[in-house]
Amino acid sequence: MSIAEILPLEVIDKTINQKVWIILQSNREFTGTLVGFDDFVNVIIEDATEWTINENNENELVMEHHGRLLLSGNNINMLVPGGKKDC
Amino acid sequence: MVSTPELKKYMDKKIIIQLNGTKKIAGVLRGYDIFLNIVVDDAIEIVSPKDSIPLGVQTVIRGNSIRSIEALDTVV
Repeated sequence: MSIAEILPLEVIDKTINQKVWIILQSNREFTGTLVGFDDFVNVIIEDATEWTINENNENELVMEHHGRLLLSGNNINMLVPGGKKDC
Repeated sequence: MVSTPELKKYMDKKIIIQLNGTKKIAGVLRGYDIFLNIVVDDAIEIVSPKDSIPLGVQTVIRGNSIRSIEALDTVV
């Protein structure tokens, strides 16, 4: 059994210039194009859409951002390459 | 000098991860690093026993927010 394990930061690196879905520790999510990240997984996303999840598990659009957004890595729970399923 | 998390035995096994809110994620462990960031294949978020939200083919979960990792398959 060889060790062919995938490094998390490599996966993030591969998503640069692709759509990404970022889920925060709170009920908030961002989708957009990943521009870059740093050692702390602070993240730059372009033309982000900001969502909130309400008690019924529905997605509520908060705001559409334009240009670049710096999202602090402090509160990031998950990063999903490819963006969100239904949009 | 920080040591690598001992997750070799969990590699390629199905796991359930408890995150620091009330979130539970299930998926197959594909990789990890010294910060306990992990890569999970075919991750789904378990909202309730009946309801789950699929996340994506490969998801990165930040080590900072992982409270526990439980193996669903048997771990040697």
